[in-house]
Amino acid sequence: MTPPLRRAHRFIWLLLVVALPLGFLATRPTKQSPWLQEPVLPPQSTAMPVLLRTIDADSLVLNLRQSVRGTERQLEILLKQPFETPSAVVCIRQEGSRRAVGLLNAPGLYRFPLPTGTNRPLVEIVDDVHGRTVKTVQL
Amino acid sequence: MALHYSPVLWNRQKRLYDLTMAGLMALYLIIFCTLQTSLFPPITTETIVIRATSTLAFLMLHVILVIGPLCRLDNRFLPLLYNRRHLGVSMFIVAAVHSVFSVLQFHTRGDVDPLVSLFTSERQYGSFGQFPFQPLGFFALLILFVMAATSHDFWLKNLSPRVWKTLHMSVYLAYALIVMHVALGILQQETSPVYAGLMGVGVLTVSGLHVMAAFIGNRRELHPNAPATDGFVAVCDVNDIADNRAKTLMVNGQNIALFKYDGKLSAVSNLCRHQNGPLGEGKIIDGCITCPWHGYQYLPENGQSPPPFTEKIETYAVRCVGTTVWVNPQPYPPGTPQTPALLKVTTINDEN
Ligand code: HEM
Ligand code: FES
Repeated sequence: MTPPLRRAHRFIWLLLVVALPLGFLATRPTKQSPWLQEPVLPPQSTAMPVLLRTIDADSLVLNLRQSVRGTERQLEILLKQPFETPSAVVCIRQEGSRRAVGLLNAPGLYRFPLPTGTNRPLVEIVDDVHGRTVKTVQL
Repeated sequence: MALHYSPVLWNRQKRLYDLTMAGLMALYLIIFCTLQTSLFPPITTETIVIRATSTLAFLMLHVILVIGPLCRLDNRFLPLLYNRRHLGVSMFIVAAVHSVFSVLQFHTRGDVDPLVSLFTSERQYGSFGQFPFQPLGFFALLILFVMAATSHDFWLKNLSPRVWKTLHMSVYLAYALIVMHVALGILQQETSPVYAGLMGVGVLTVSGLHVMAAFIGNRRELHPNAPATDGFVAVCDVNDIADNRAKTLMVNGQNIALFKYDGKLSAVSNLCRHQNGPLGEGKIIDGCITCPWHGYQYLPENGQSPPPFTEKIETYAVRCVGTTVWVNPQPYPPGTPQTPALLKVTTINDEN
């Protein structure tokens, strides 16, 4: 090998011996397991009686509902048009953490129980196949 | 190349090399497929093919990448280098089978063009930790394809050894792409640390050996820096060179191989015409300097390949005064005859 080629080899490998382990490590902890593996509670069939807030967001209407005693909350979604994505996961984000609460499929009425203490949730509809947030609504 | 010697030996060696390689590849595939079917019975044939070929190609790439530095660190590995090209082309074929099966399995069942699907089925191009892994495999395959397609000596001649070698250095980029293809792909689903550990060992071995070779390999070269007398530079003692072997020198930016044979000394360029192999790490066989990489041969007195071959390398003037060897680092045009320096044989008569 010619001396310039040798130098090029040395340079490339000094770079790779640092970059490859770093690149490898950088991929380690970041990828979360798919959200569908989190427990998604079964949708509820009846609406909770107290309607706290309503937001009309084009293709869907979101209602935040509450039980009479105020201990339980419910997210009611009226889906008017189907999403074009293969999957639409309803997630709520509160205090920085995101939780999946249910799935939307055909147009219709969906009711999902919310974790206790949910007050002003940020609702995100996520296409988890492509890892994209399709819609965000502040309730 | 000397007709009566090398073609026979090299060809037998070549056949042996290819047979061993094919045998080991078949053995790997058989063991892998047997283990997969017996350990994970519900697995489909396509998945087995995808995994068996991908892991075999990745393993072969590791072998290919360690041969170079191993040879630089220890001459005994040189036989592995001789036919490394066939190893590379075979690795490309195996990797291509993996790629084609992956595209068939994962990208031909939707309503999107398979190639578009390959690039759009995952979209997190903005994220490092979740970057799509399949396009990385695609670009690696593209590089391996270009290398396999230009691997023949026809391209080496057409592109010139320098351009060809530079082009073939892109295998390092392909390697980096494949490491990330695996780290961002299968290693995200395989939770067992064994797989990540195995790849870590592979990456560290390959890069560690290359870095070691880059630093240790250089030390064998002589870098004489005494001032020139009459154009000649004192380079070493005659007894530092073994019979039928050489010392490699770097003088005034010239890479020179200084050979000792039959009581004579000759200096030629250290770079083989074929692929710039290090002639000084070869030896004299049948009176010819024989390149350690693929066996091209040159006569030490004039740097010409013996007929019918026509390769020529630069020659240098050599002198031997006492036991000190002097070389003039001014190259003569390739194939220029030089009078070899005669070693002064010390006999009892001389001493009396
Ligand atoms: C168009 C090009 C390629 C595509 C579409 C592709 C696709 C894939 C896919 C889908 C997997 C995961 C398979 C599984 O889940 O078991 C995979 C894994 C892997 N690929 Fe590729 N790949 C390509 C090129 C390459 C190349 C060129 C190499 C070079 C050696 C390679 C090496 C590997 C390895 C080592 C694995 C991990 C083992 C396995 O799961 O099979 N791939 N690839
Ligand atoms: S580099 Fe191939 S024979 Fe010398």
